[in-house]
Amino acid sequence: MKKIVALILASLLMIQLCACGSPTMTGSAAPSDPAAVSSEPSGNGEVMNSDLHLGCIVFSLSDAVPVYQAKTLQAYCDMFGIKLTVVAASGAEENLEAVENLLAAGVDGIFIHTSTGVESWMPLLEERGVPIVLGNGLVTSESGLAAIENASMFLGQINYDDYAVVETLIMAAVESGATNIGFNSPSQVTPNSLGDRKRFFLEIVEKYNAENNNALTIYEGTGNATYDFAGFASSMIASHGNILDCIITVTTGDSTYQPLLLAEMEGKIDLYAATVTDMASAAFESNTLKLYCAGCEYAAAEFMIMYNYLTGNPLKTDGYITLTAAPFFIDSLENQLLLEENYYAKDAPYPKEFLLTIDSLERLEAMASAATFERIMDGTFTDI
Amino acid sequence: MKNNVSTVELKKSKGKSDGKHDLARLIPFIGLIGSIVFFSIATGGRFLQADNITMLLSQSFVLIITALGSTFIYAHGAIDVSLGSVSMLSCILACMVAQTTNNGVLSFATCLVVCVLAALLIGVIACKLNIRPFPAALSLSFICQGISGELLTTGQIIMPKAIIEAVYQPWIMIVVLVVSFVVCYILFEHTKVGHINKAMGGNETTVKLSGINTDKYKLIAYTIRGVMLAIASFFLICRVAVVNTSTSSGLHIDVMLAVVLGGMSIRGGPKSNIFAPLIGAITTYVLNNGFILMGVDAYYVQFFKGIIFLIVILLVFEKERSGPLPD
Repeated sequence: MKKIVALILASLLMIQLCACGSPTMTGSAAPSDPAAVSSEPSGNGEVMNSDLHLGCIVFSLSDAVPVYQAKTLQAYCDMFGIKLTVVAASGAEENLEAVENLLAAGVDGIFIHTSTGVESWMPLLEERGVPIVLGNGLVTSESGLAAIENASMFLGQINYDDYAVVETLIMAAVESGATNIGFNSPSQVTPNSLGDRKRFFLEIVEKYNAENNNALTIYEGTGNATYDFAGFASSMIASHGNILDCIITVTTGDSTYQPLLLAEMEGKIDLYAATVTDMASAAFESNTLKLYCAGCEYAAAEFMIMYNYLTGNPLKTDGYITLTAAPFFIDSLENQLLLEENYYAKDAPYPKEFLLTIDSLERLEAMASAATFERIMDGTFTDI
Repeated sequence: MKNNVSTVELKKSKGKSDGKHDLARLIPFIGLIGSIVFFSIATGGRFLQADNITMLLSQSFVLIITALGSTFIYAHGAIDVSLGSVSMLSCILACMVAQTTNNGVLSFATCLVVCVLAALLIGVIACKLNIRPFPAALSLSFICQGISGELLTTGQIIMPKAIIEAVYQPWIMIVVLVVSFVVCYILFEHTKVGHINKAMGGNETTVKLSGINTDKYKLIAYTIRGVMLAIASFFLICRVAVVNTSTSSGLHIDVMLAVVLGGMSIRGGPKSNIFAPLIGAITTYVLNNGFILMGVDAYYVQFFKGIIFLIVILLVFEKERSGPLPD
């Protein structure tokens, strides 16, 4: 019986693998000259790039943010007729393996969403002449900065202004009268965006307290994993639930917003969360969540930096691109649904025609700052 | 005298395998060859290109070496969840020593001391205090993570380039790999160390009643595991150049998967064989690499790997022993 099941599974596997095989996989090597990439306008004015093959490395496929980033990049690649291979990898070893495997697959460029191990994979990309764009993660270590300093294949690193994100969350809590604040502190010490947010949080609170007679009391805690909001909140409520005014989480943790937990917080403890994608319906239903939200500009910016480079029109950058996205708060289920409808629920928020107009760093920055809550709601966020 | 008799009997019983079992042992190997053939065809020969094969060797090196060493303790039924954390701590300390002395030998010696001491600590707790190795390894894992977090005040630490350039050479890796495998093969398949550890995985009580000092052979197994982990950790730093808190984080799971994918029971026992970790580790990387070369997205890769894993389990593993005596 077991052998029959195994044979059936093996047959299914073979059929599905054959279905997954790409007709373009036996072909092209990476183009050595970016300008040589085919970008012939078709009859209707569209740019077709069917020979291009890009890779995307995300740190997890079980977290809302990287999955959203990969899916949005996939949508943009589909729009432009570009093949995209998504690989999940976390940590320096796996990132290096993923880069090596993608290079072996002959990709023309790579999007990577973590800077871990840049010291080992950047020289490899430089040697092979394959460009990379780093999104949602900054190189901040001394050795990492040395690795990208003179690397011509490092097209840019994009991040939101993390200081502004954290400051906005704290000030919103202060304005609502909060003095006892639970802080979901990222557990990791690896230098990255989350580590920065943690450092910024503590710096801003210290500065505020120095100027305001220690008005804020912070109760710091962490979940079992970096994005484990439920684990953090359970222990925080159990230990300080009777005195807490609000909780601030600088991680996303959307998938761990548990309805029962939020129901316990309802009317007692507000939640201020920084997130870039998922809208956490359960949290809104409990009227607990006051969400700081920055939009979908990562993927669009990453894609256009890569696209412009590969089609011979590289954006002039110094390698450090901090997108200043307009922060906005959503504190009702109704607004959340409207936002999803107008912005997130679509395959990708920006249409192809709009993306093709992003041909300079100035336009890129304008795109990010144009995505305000009001403009998304009335559908004019692409009018820049 | 008793020991000699028992070993001879163990050897004899090992020789009595029927054709069905031999075929089951071959399935992972056939699967590996099948995967290589499939990916070679599906990628239009790109999979078999020399660059890709060299890359696969460097990618799988750490897992192969670690899994070879771990097989000795898996054989007697122990599971070591501290592999990743111990490796991380040894890498951090080795980097610190390397930065201070710029001496590769001292750096490796640091890895060796940390990994062997950690392995022996679990072994001693398991043997002398009669505590299952799993909770001991888990506790050690937490301790190592805590120490590593404290040591990594700057978030990460870098291995000096001079040491990397001296050590991370393809020919050195091939020599280390071949020597490691031959030594492990001899120890596991042709000495009392391997035979008795396998026998303990089948039924430890019987082995004890045969007059064999089981603690001694368990500690030898842990020592071998420690030495192999040290070699793997040292080469890992030289490959990646940087150590942080995510270094080696999933190593224990990878080793477990490699051993099972190679056709060896996670509970060890007389059917354990040293080829299992080798085949399993190579298969793991062949699948990762092959799927990406084919352009299969990560979402499907996880799915396919799960199916392949299930097929191996269905074809290779028989019903677990329920009686008091070994099969």
